[in-house]
Amino acid sequence: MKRLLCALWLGVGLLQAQTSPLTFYVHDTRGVAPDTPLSSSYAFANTPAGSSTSIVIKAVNSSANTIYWVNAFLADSASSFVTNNNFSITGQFVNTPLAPSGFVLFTINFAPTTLGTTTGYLRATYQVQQGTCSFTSGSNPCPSGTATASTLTGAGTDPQLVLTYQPANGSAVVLQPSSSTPFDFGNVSTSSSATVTFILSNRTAGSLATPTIKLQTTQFFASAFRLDTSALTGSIAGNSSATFTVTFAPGQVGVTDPSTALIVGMLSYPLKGTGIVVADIDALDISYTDITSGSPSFGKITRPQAATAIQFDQLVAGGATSSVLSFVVTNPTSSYNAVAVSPLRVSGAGFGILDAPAAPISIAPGSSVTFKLTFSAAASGTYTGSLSIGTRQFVLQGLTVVSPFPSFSLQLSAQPLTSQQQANLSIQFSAPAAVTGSGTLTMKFTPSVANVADDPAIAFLATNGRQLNIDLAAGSQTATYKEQSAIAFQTGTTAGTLTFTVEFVNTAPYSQSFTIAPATVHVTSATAVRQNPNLVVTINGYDNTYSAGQLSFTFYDLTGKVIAPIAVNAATSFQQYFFTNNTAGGAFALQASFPVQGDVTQVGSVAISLTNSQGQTTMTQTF
Amino acid sequence: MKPLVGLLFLAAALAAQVSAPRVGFARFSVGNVHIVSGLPANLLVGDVSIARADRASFSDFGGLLARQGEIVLVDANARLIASFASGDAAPVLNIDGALTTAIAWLPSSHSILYWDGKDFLRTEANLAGEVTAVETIKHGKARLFVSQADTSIAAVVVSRKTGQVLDSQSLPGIVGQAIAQHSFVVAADSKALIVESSNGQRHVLPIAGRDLTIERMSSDWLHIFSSSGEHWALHLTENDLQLSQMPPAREEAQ
Repeated sequence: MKRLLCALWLGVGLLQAQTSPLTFYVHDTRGVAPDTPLSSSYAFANTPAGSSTSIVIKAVNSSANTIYWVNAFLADSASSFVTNNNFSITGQFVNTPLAPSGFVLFTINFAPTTLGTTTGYLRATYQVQQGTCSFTSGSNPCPSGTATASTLTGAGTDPQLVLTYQPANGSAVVLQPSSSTPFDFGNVSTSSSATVTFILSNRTAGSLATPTIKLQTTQFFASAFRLDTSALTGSIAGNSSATFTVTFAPGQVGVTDPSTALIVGMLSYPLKGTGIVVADIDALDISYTDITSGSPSFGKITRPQAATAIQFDQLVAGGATSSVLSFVVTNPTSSYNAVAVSPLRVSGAGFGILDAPAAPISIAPGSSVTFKLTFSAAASGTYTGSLSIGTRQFVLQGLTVVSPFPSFSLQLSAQPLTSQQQANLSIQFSAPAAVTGSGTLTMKFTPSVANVADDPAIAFLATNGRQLNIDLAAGSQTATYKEQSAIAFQTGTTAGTLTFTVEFVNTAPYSQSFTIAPATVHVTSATAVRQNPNLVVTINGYDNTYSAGQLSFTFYDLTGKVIAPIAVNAATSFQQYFFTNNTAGGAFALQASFPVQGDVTQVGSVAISLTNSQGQTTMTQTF
Repeated sequence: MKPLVGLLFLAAALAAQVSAPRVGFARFSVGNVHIVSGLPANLLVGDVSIARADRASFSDFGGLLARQGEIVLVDANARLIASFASGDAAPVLNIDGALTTAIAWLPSSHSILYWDGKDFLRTEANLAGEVTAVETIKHGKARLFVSQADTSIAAVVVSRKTGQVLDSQSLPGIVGQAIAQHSFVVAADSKALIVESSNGQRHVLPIAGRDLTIERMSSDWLHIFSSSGEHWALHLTENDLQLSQMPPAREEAQ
């Protein structure tokens, strides 16, 4: 153990004793000024809180060895790996090998969130190629080190823009960014809402561009907050202010997600609100599931918030006729009273309600009611409506778009399709496309043979798969895959239906099916060989019905005279082959061996017949 | 006429054996070798790579694989039989029948390497030009296709034992990559595949691909592939000629 510790200490000491293989420069991305070495200390210009100042750094491998650039970071001390949040690094390629003289570029941003001077330490971690070591191997890793390139200082000055709000009583309150105490909208009934007007003040004499203002919400979840910046313009005049509002309108009981924040420029102001029950109807738990056939959101369950519109699936003119959301409204078991829901109503053109319970509606504690909302509209455009569940109000929104592409059809190089065939498919548009587009071409196979799920040979020949990404060039009337308009595929050896589906963005999916009919056994090659004392018959072919069974072999002598007719029931062999670990569809290789007593050279030929559900196939082979 | 006295079928048949039709083994990009089964126009490439190789040739009875300077002889199920450290980065391989048809041309040492049933044997042969194909023929001889300075191909017969040149004939009209298949010569250029029979009759099959390579998948199947990732399978026997597109191995398509 002592020896191991010593070895580890020596290893670390050896690398620390080496000088850094990296040299850092301040880089001018315009190429006007030459790179200047980054000194051991660098001072950023004074920067108002909420703004940022940046420099671009070029880190060069100045050693004779290849190194592995792990990453650079801004630490809070010269020996720390904890980052200083007043600085950030952007545009950095991490985990990159650098040959001698190779370099990486990245940007250091000083964006103070606090006033006064702050210090950060630019540090970079790397590995050095030595001997047979590996950058990525766990067993023989290359030695690593962390260089401290420069001490960076900057001063955060008074912010140019200040965010405040005016409470009902008293003077305006200044909001602090990144505060550990969120701005709290307080308790709000799920049937109600609270709106706060925020004031953004320009404390400079000159005009300032209005920063980007947005809500940070949890992705894929409805937000209980709604932002309205309609009163803002592109700039705020000197010593003036502008206002915007945030509304808290909960649709669910409980505290909002803690990651919710108001983002003003580069500054973040956490927000909080609590949905509460005031009247009985506020306790209702409301959720819906997208049950629109073919929707990417099919099956997704959403708990709506009153602040965010309930969004229906986008419809495409000529495509799916409606989008359907299935609602469940539950009165929790914790409720004391049954809740009367009146009205249950939908308004707005394009929106409808299905399967709603008959009025009067009363939901007992622990019980639920269900209904469906639909959206359908033939004309393109955005549609807005509302859903009332008693006093609980939700905005509804739907969108119908028109495909930017001409109509199209699928054409095959050969029809009807048969088994064991390679054919080409092309996607032809009725007119030259006005815009460039991309989409997918999918092939699906549905066998018509009972107890058969698929045929592995069915595939596009370019990829051995069943889906291709296709392109449509502006001005073209044919979609292509890798610039090929004839898209080759093979049909396999199982009877069934091949369905091709083409999907382009904002365009109704188009599908076309082609039947591969059941057929008699097809023989692609056969041999008859004398292997004294046996006669061996080998047949390659396919049975796309998986029903082959009865075989007959009639042997003839050299003069054509019948020697022996032999019937063989091979149903068991075929069934076992077709339905146990099938890897070749209906394709098969059959070998039948016939022991013979006597002179096998006197056998001249054999007539073979194979029978399946579609009939008999016959052929003759000579020995 | 001789009567068929004594000719008697002892049984209706041994149980008919049914299996997946086997095509052979093919080498795909990055050198992965996959089993190929199916029929013409209905080819299935196995999901699992059974070996990696820089060059490959297979017959119904076995195969030759070259990888990193080593040549390996395997049986019909790709199990190792013998290996030979040739040190050659780009040997020309062929096996088209029994294991004793296994033969290789080693360009760096100007040698023929062949399997005599027990050992690999090497014989130097002084040939001018680039050898593009090699095969074992009867009576202890080997035939090599040698590309000439004017891009034409000469079929040169040498003694496997001594390396002495016994015969040399030009193959008129054959240029580029060529390989012998049964009694045919198969040649590929960037526009077509040419199949020439021993009587000079030609079939021209349309194949468009850059830098075509031909490797044998089995005794009756050839694998033709381009540097841009297109694959074809040619089934060629004395009675049958069928060209099919072949899907790539799944890892190649990703």
